[in-house]
Amino acid sequence: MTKGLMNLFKKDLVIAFRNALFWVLIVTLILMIVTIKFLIPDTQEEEGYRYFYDKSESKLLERILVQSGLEEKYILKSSEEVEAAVEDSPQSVGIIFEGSIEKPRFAILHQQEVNAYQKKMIDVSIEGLMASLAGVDRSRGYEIQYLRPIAEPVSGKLTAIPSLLAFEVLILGFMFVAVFMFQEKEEGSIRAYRISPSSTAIYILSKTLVFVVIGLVYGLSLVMLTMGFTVNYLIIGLIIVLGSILYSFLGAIVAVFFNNISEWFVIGTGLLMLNMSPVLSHLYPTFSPRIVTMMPSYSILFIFNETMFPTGKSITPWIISLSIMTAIAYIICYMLVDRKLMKEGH
Amino acid sequence: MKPILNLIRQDITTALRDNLMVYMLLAPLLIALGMKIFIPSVEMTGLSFAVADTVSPQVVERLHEYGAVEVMKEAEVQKRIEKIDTVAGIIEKGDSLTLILEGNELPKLIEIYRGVMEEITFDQRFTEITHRSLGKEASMLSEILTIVMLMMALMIGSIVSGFNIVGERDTKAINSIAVSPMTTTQFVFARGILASIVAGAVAIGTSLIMAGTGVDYTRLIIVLLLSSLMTTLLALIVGASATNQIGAIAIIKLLTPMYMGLPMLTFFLPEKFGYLFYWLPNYWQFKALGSIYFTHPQSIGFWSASIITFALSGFYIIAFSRYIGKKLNLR
Repeated sequence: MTKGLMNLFKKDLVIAFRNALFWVLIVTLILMIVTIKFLIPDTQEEEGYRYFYDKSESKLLERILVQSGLEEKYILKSSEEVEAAVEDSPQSVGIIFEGSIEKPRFAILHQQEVNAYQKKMIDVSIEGLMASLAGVDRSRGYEIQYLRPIAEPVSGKLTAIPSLLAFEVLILGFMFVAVFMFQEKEEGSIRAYRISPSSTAIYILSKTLVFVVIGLVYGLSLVMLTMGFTVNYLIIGLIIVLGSILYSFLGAIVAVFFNNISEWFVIGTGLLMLNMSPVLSHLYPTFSPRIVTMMPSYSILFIFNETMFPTGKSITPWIISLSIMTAIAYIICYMLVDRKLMKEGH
Repeated sequence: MKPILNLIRQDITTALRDNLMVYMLLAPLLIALGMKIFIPSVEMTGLSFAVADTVSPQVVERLHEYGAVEVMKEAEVQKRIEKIDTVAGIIEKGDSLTLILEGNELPKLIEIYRGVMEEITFDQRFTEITHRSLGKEASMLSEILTIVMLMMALMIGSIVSGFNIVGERDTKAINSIAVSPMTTTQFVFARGILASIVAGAVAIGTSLIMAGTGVDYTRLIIVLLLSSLMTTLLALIVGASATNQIGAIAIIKLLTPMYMGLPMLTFFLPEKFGYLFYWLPNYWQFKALGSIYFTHPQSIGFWSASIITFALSGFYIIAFSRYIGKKLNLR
């Protein structure tokens, strides 16, 4: 079996590289490295701007905010200026202060209607600021407990790497296993395979192995050229292997239902887009509906994040669940490939 | 004109026979519909709390003002916090409440959670706060995703046309076109017209689903017309670079981040980096679409962005037409 597997693996690897894949991966790798190293800013940008206007005569709050580090460009001279600034920038919020430090009144300006939760969160920040200016300590009414030490902030440049690994490197198998199958159908080599002594398992595993090897080289190069030797390569390698296997199986599961690349393309792209939905949870950390958490990329993204920027959280349960998912995917993949691809008439 | 129409007719017949037209037209619209349903739930996201059932109902009621609250046995709270998403735990110890965090939350989020606890446990109010909206019916997320979906629709039109060319090269059917009276220009037109019609139809449908009737459709049609050379260019790049399906997917894998990812990236980058993308027609296409769908003012106007998209795409097609003709063995 090993000899058969290795022979088929070598053949598939040669086919993969004969078709510009090598050059495509090199160019994409360069693009990703240039983007991470030179384009993404190092510091995390604020989600939106806060334009501020102190309408009071004393301008005391304005002075306090400037002293505490608020950039002068965010301090405006009239309510109209605040309105114009908010109108121009959708993510921004206008804050107009009236009254006095003892009896403050705030008018908050939004470009569009925001949800009630967001309004309350802005209220919380302003209340906190004014309470501290009044010299009141409000933190005595409750205690705070951290399960682990507070994590160090991560460089904005590097936060893109886990997403690139999950949505660029691991999905290679999903796309290309499908294309390999269509190519073999079209060339008729799948017919020759059906009458050969090789098994369905070898057929699936040889293709999977190709994308495990490519994924490992591609993914580890990306991590090494952007993060150096500061991360645990053993775990990252393990997740790339597991993820590549899983996505190759999933790619085969979907591909058996189509005859050619044109038919598959729109559905395949749609599924890949769905697979990217955990990015939203990455952007909005409290957003975790079931449909998103069910995606394999959700836990994979977390494992990559935790391995690269450790916070002390255990990743073992997630690696186990990923392994179980992969085993189930293999069983389904085997059954479908055996029934739909390895039988004559398909 | 006749050879162009013949080739278009042939492509339509193939697409209808393989149900390809149905996939091409319906699937992007279904994805857009799914996204439209999904977006409000993202925008309605607030904070998340896992609260022990020993905490008073009054506190639980107050917490509901800030986001989703799950009430559970005290022993379950820590397990819930340990899951991947960001959830703060609240339990009662003696007379006071305890806020439990993992320690890996964003600093800004920790501040907000602490602020919420202060609001709940401290009765005195320091400020009077009112909120006012300028009344724009805008959603940043929705606007960005609409443009992503439109660009995807345009790309699908190109790619399927590109696949047709690759299929002809793979099966050597291109040789029969090469010996026919059809010239490279006619071939480019034939592929471009069909790709642009399909892409345009899907794009308009996508826009109707994602943005409704509230946008300027005359402008959208103008962008789509002026983007037709961009659509053709993408189809030709796929068709001329690959000789089989594996090669085609490899090229698409490279084209997708370049076509959709790079213009999107400019949205998150400081403006000073904008000039790095001026050579890309899709950057200008993104800007033209942005001037229709973004409610906030754009630095580049609709007409200039649309015309540059057309001119740059045309320039690339002319510059590479010889190469394309040679690759496809056309006259």
